[in-house]
Amino acid sequence: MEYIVKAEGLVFEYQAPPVAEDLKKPGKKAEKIEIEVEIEAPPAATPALDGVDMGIKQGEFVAVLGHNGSGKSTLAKHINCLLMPTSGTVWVKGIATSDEEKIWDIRQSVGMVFQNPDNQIIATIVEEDVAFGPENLGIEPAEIRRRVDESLATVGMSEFAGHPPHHLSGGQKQRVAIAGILAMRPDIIVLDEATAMLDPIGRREVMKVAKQLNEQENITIILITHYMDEAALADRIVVMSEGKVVMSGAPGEVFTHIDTLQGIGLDVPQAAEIAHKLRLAGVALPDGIVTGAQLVEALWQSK
Amino acid sequence: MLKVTIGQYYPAESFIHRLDPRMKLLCTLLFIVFIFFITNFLGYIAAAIYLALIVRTSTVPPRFLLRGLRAIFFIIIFTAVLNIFFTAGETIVLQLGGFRITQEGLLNAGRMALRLIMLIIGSSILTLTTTPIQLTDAIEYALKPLKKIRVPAHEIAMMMTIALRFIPTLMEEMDKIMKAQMARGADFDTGGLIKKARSLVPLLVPLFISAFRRAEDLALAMESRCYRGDVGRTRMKKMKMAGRDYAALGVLLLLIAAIFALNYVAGVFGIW
Ligand SMILES: Nc1ncnc2c1ncn2[C@@H]1O[C@H](COP(=O)(O)OP(=O)(O)OP(=O)(O)O)[C@@H](O)[C@H]1O
Ligand SMILES: [Mg+2]
Repeated sequence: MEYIVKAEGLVFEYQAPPVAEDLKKPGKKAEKIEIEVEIEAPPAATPALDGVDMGIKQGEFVAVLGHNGSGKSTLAKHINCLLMPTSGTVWVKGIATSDEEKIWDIRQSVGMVFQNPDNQIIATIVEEDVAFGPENLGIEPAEIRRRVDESLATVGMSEFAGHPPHHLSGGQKQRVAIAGILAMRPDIIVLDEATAMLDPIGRREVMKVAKQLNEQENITIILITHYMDEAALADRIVVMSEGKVVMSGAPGEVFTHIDTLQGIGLDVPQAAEIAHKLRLAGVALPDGIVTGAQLVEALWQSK
Repeated sequence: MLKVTIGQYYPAESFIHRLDPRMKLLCTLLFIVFIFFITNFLGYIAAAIYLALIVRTSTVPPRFLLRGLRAIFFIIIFTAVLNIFFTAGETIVLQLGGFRITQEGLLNAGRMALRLIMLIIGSSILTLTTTPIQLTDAIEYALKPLKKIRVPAHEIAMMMTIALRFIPTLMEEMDKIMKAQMARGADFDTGGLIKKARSLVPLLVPLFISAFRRAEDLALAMESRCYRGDVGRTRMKKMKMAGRDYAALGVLLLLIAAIFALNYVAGVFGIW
């Protein structure tokens, strides 16, 4: 099957800030005071992605896990052309992101929801914020109106259309952000820790919307998260460490490698860990237990 | 905590809310200009009636307007005091050492205060009944002719929108930082002006840092939603002048005519 997002040999380095570049050169100051100053060369560039190969299929719900600084956000920004690879290639719907002429097509197809709900709402009224994307695409006003109403209804925020965003809860703001993306008719939505700043209720709301979009509208979802219970709901989990993809597979499979995961600083869902320990203690349990419900079910059956 | 009414939209569906933002902007500017032409209290009464009518029609509760006034209360007092003491005049009401308070001074002070109050109420009505986006659209439209001389009309409008969007967020944040610093024993209330100003540093530094972080995030979010300036951009809400807009302008022109008529009458009868 054709991949909707594909990365091959993707390497990315954040360039060191220009000030550091200046320091590296023998400067005028050093000559004037006639002292040999040896300046420790600052790290020229931080390699954030170090050869990422992966593919995501149309309609998949993929969770990306990894400790802080493992390169998840950097990868996400490549899918949306916010960053360009240092080497290697990323394709979205078969188009290389380095193709400058297609950058707006790719950004239309890939919606991004970021972590901080306050910092991604541009307008002062909910419905005007949802309209921001389609307005940028140059869509007809009547069509924008239709899309805005439809998108707000999909995420269950219609009644807040005329409200200022700063009165909404975190979960509601993230749903508005999702509506703003839906109005652009995307094929892929990337949620970069979109639930990290929310309370449990807000998190559940956002996850429900993401699931629903994946199942009903067949939108490919890439969910970057630190919450294992959210990852357990995905079709597939991609685990990143030090700028590389170190593991990829169904949650039931990935979460059996408890030692490897803990070795790179990640947890596993509690249910998976308990199941693992029970197995070690000799209780016969099937593979692939990741949620509490599955564990309870398996324990009932295992009598 | 400090509250600003300017930039705070009051959602409703009144006649005033539905007016074209360009017309509202024009009328507000005209109103502000022409209250400075008023020479006598009859004119102020006419202007006050006009304002009251607008406030009624807009369905905005008056307390929202008073809130805006409270923020500039000191400016009003200050200008009034300045006017009382520094207006040259003949009719002395009170002599205080070197200073004398004259009838002209008092009248000037009253006039100035009234003008300021009306100016604030008038512009608050504009911002309370117009979403900031509509308002900036109107400003963008007004600046459009200046695009030829390279005035970045769209960019100015976008900057204003974002500033307005983030005022409440940053105020909330300021409040939070202030409480956090107070919990650590910071004192914002006592001491002289210099001490007070200095106590603001630990407030402003974190606020600025966070504002820059927000700006970075926002730029990314805008870019990922295909923002590229006003190239090929359309708007969901098209601005369109309707009959009601001309009616509103008509009412304002009536007020302006009344102001000049009353100025004439007052001139003839010597009313101040
Ligand atoms: N703007 C930047 N300039 C320089 N280095 C950066 C920048 N952004 C990220 N990095 C570095 O790149 C690496 C990968 O960062 P990235 O933000 O992709 O990680 P992440 O997996 O998203 O982490 P987190 O879970 O904290 O969000 C880190 O070492 C980080 O320090
Ligand atoms: Mg990140």
